[in-house]
Amino acid sequence: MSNHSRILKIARLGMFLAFGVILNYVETFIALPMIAPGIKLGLANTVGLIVLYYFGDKEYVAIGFLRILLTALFTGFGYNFFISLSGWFLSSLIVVILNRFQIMSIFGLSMVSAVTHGLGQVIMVAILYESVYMLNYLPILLAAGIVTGLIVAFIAREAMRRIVIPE
Amino acid sequence: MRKFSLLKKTADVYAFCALLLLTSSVLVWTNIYNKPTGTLVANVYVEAVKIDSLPLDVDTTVIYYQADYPVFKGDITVEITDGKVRVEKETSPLHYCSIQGWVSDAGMPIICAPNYFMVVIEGSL
Repeated sequence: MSNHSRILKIARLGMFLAFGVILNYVETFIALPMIAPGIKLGLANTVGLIVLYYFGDKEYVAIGFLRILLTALFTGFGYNFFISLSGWFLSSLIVVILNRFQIMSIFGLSMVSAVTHGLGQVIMVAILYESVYMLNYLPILLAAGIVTGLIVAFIAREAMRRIVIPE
Repeated sequence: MRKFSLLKKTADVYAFCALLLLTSSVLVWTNIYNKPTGTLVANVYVEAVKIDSLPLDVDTTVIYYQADYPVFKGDITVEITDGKVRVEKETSPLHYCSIQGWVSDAGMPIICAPNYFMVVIEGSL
């Protein structure tokens, strides 16, 4: 890869990272507390899916991690940071493995990503709060993950059909 | 570079079914094997540290003061009535946790994220 291409790639990834952080912030205003607390659409994952499609596994993992890190700079490195980190770790791990096999489309990957993200978060909450009863919240989060995963996949696909990233 | 398909695949349907099965299994497990025993209590946490345990069979209203917990954005009022708990009053930009209303199921949290405050029903020791 030439120096010019490398710089271009870093600039584009930086743009996607910034967009992910903004989406993360924006969706705090469209959370759905009447359904259940903590349930979000996961709009920032649209950016993750776009990065995975156009750039690859390593960039997908890096952008996800940096997004959590940057968000924590604004909100603090409290227990919320570790909860986000565990969700990111589990979902990234599963998505990268599944993407290697090339068996699922954007819809399957997004669903699995959302569900495993919720699973990772609840496991971390149960550990942090030392309470196995926190796991009783899992069915709601898992069911919500299936629905929000499909919505996010649809949004990401429509975005990908409209954006062109030249090589 | 491996690029995933933008069109639905058969494996997506299998994944959907597997995730539904997982959700159903966890639902059954939580309803049969993960029920709290003993007296139900509303445990109150601040920054993941338990600060109070309120029995659900005693109607009460407790105020947690910002002066005692500097991470709060204001005082927080927790109310227990008829075996249910709610955050009656709090200070936050969108008031999600007071909007949530009454909770009576074990494990269903009331989360006041801007205040690092959480109430959840659990079993007592």
